Amino acid sequence: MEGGRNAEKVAAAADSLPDDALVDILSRVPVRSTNRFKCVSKHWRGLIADPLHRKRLPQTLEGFFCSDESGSSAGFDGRFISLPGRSAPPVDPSVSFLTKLPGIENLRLLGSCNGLLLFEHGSEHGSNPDTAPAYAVCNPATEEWVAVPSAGCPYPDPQFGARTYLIFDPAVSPHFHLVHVCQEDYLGEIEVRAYSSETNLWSESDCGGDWKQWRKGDEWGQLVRAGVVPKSKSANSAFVNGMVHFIVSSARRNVDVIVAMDREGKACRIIRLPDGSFCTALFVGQSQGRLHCMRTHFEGEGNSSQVTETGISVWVLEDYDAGQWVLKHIVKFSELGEMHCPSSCHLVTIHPDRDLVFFLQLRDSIWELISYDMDSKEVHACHTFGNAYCSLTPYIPFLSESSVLPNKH
Amino acid sequence: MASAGSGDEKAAAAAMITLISSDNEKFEVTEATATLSQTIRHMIEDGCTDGGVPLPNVTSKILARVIEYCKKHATAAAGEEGSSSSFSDAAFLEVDRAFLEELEEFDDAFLEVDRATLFDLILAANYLDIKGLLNLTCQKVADSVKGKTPEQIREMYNIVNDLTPEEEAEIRRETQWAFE
Repeated sequence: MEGGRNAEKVAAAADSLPDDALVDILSRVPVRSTNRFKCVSKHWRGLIADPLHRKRLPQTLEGFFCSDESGSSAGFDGRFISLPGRSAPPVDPSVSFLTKLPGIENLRLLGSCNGLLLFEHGSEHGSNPDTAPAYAVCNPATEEWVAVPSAGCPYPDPQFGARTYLIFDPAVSPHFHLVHVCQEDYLGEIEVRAYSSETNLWSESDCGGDWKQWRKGDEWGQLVRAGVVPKSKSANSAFVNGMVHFIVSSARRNVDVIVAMDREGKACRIIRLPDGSFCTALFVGQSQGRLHCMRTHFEGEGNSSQVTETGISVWVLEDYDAGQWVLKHIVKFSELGEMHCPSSCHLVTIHPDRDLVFFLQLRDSIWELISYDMDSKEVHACHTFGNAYCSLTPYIPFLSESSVLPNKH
Repeated sequence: MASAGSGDEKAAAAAMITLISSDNEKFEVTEATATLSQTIRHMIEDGCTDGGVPLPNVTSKILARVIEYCKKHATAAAGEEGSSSSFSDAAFLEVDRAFLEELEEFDDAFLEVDRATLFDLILAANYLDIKGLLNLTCQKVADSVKGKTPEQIREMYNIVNDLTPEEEAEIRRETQWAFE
């Protein structure tokens, strides 16, 4: 009887909880949970769907910004591909509030992180650091932006891989950070510079001194000395545990490793790939809070030369600290319509909240965006592009205004 | 620095506020404790706390718990700010680590309550506008609901499913991935 009374009391309390508090609670659970909770009752469905509450509730992948990479004038082309089942793009895809500004020309989208976009603009990389491109960081949902000066790296030759990564996690800090990694020449020195929206400064060359100091002894320093090349931009980067992760190839040893760099540009960890006969990685990404990497899957007879590429293996770093990789899935090329990576199929991204992988595949000279569901093994065509290759930047909205992006259209 | 402890009550003894619960029980608290509630802070600023502050939405059982929370957390602020009654984040950060740990332990123990009490605490924190308490209690509920199925949520909180089978099927189709 006591139990009965308690149950009644719980029911009364649940009903009387104000919407505001319920939305507060829902804002603290993963997006997978809020999507499921639409099934609880009419009231919960209404709360979660209400555009008024959207700003506070967790967001997930909405779609992709496109950059046309076919012509000589490769650049941001202002198109947005929404995921199937999503309505119109949640933002002005042309980012016209930015492109219309005087002095901003030749915009190139470098990446996105938790709702902010990182653009590079101005002249292409060349040998003169004075004319190196500058940056703009913007939030397309609120149409706010801020200009960031050039990193002033002395070796801005794109052939030798200059990369700039955006780090932004509103749950940790309202500030964003940029990490710029550039290489003097093939297998040469690697210089890292970091920018913080807190100081509005790039780390100066005396910081480079620090960098040289920690470079000497540690694993990253040894790797660089042995000669590495950052993997191509399409191998992506992943933001996990407050650090940006990207792949570098040790050219002489013919192995890839994942470097974890913090927002100050310090290489904090070298993560070795899961065991296998060919230690190279195609892709690194983040899903459900964990680091994922994808590799070509081989089948064949042991160590013999009879091995053939038959698909892609997806690995998840279950225990980050211990560096423990677990094989999550193998997708056979036959399941993807006999497409082969990387000749006719490019990895785009892994869904941040689902076991879903996106590929761009080339079929009869037409590029198509497809998704592959690791649970159901279903393949879906999401978008057809035509014969021009597009690079796609995943986008998760961040709907709150931000003081670190002081310019508002 | 300052020993975070019992000193503040005597120091601020001059400014006492009387809170009156829905069942007419009176609670005497220091102004420093009471002003963790933005609602009460505004009442004090407007000078309408003479003769006590009636809180018709809060029972004596819940009010006692809320005061327990505010006393503990006000000490954190008072230890740094002396007689000042304002509770700022900066001052909070300065409090030494041991006290923060103690506060965390207090919070954990404070949350060891049944679901009905937790909901009543949320209601009170919402009504009295006590940010810290609202954060704490909402996070506790969030931690207990995440990962649960809709059926488990309905059972935990006795919510009646008023969606038609068609409506529920449609939502499940749209958000099928979230159920995998």
